[in-house]
Amino acid sequence: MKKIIFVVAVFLMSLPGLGSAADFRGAPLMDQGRVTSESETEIQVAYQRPVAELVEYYRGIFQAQPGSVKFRDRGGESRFEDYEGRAWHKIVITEGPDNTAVVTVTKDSWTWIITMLVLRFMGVFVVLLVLFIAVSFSTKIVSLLLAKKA
Amino acid sequence: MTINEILDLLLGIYHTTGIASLDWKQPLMWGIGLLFLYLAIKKDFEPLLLLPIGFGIFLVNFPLVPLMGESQGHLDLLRVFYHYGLEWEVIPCLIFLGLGAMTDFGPLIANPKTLLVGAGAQLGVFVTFTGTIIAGFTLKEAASVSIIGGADGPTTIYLTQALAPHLLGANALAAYSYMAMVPLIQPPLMRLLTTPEERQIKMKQLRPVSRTEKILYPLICVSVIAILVPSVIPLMGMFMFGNLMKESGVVARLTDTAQNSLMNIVTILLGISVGATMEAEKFLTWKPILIFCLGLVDFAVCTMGGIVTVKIMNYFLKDKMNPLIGSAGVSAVPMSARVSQKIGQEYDRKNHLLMHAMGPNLAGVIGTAAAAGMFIAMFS
Repeated sequence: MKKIIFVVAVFLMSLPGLGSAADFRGAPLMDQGRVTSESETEIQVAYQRPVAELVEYYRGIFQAQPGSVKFRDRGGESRFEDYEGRAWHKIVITEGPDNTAVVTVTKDSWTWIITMLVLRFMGVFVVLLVLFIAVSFSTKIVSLLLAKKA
Repeated sequence: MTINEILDLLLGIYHTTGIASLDWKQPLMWGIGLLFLYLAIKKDFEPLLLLPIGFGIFLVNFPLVPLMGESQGHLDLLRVFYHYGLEWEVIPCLIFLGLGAMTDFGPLIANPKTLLVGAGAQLGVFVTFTGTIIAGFTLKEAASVSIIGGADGPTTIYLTQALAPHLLGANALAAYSYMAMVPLIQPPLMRLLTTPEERQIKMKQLRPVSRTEKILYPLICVSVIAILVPSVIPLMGMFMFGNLMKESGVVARLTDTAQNSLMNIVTILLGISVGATMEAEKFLTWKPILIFCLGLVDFAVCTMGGIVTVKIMNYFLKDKMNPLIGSAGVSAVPMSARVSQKIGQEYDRKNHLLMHAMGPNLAGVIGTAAAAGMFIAMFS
């Protein structure tokens, strides 16, 4: 019986490995852009347009799908990030030379995923470590106070 | 009336029954519901949850039943429970209120370094996240599936509802099923990762914990969580509120209600609502099968994470901890602590690990909530 359970458990654990990840490209790109670089994981397109126009273009496209693409504006760059399993992970719009805008589309990256997971896991340790310090500190104070009282 | 008119009437009546709308999916779901009822009733697998969940699955998979939709301009019965209880995230928080009112944090306060074991036991959550992405889930779905390994039902439901509500039924079912199977899943891994000498490590008796410390603990915990992981405060806040009521000793009536009547009511509503989300069209896809497979991996890696964390901590500790208590970081309270006790006693009948294992067990609840908070923050 134990052997059967072991075999079934190994089979169940191996099933997820038979799944496969989706393709990682397919982000919308405005017309009249000039591809400045392209690789397996990233494409960069320059436009003779202001950054704001491109940001509005992408906002319009993603407005139809609320919540699935997140917009962030971080000093100097505007980002659209996907967490719903699209072929691409982020579209970054930055200002290029001579009043151009550069759109960089980045493929889903295992480096980003693994780094993010490691940081979050460390974050859990940090939270519990802070709690550990706080509890240790408070119990010491309580013990001292109770000892004084006694 | 002509014969044709009578036949039309009969046909009309026939079409109002469920017979005309039956297909192969509903009987399959009945089978699944009945399986969970069997596990709950005959095998005593987490009956408090699996019985209402199993019945919910069975009930909602009859055709034309007005349970999870809208009729005559208002929500149907189970849809009301689901909408106000789960979509509004009320039920998981109330369950945590009741759990807090039943929890004694004494073993954790007496040995606060076991908090780190609870953190280490979340390893499976993050490892499984990777495997879930490889299996084809989206990032949000992966986060909701991987939290299953934390072995915390309300946290699983809370996070899944926030990130991937369409997976609620499968995730909750996997979480509660594997929680019931902790005595089967954990022992082989515990034996694999520890030596006979390590299993016989005797730990110093825990110091007594004063009432003042037990009253301060929920306040400290909620302060730390509110500052560092505010997104999960609805859950942890209610957990600590329940615990404060219990430890204060001055609101016995409220504590009694939280522990008993309130817990029982929300458990019924939780179970039947979760079961009712598992309609055939939503459940019979490849995702629930993968979720069950990944949940098993998750549990296993979390168990290993807890044990390895203790072994690493032992390098730095003068008074070594028995690595068997590391598996109790999987927060199936108190089952995984009892498993640590049982395995420890196989090697030394005088080695009582239960109270020592309760520390990581309770730390695991906080660790899972912290992990859930990290995921919510990631997507907010």
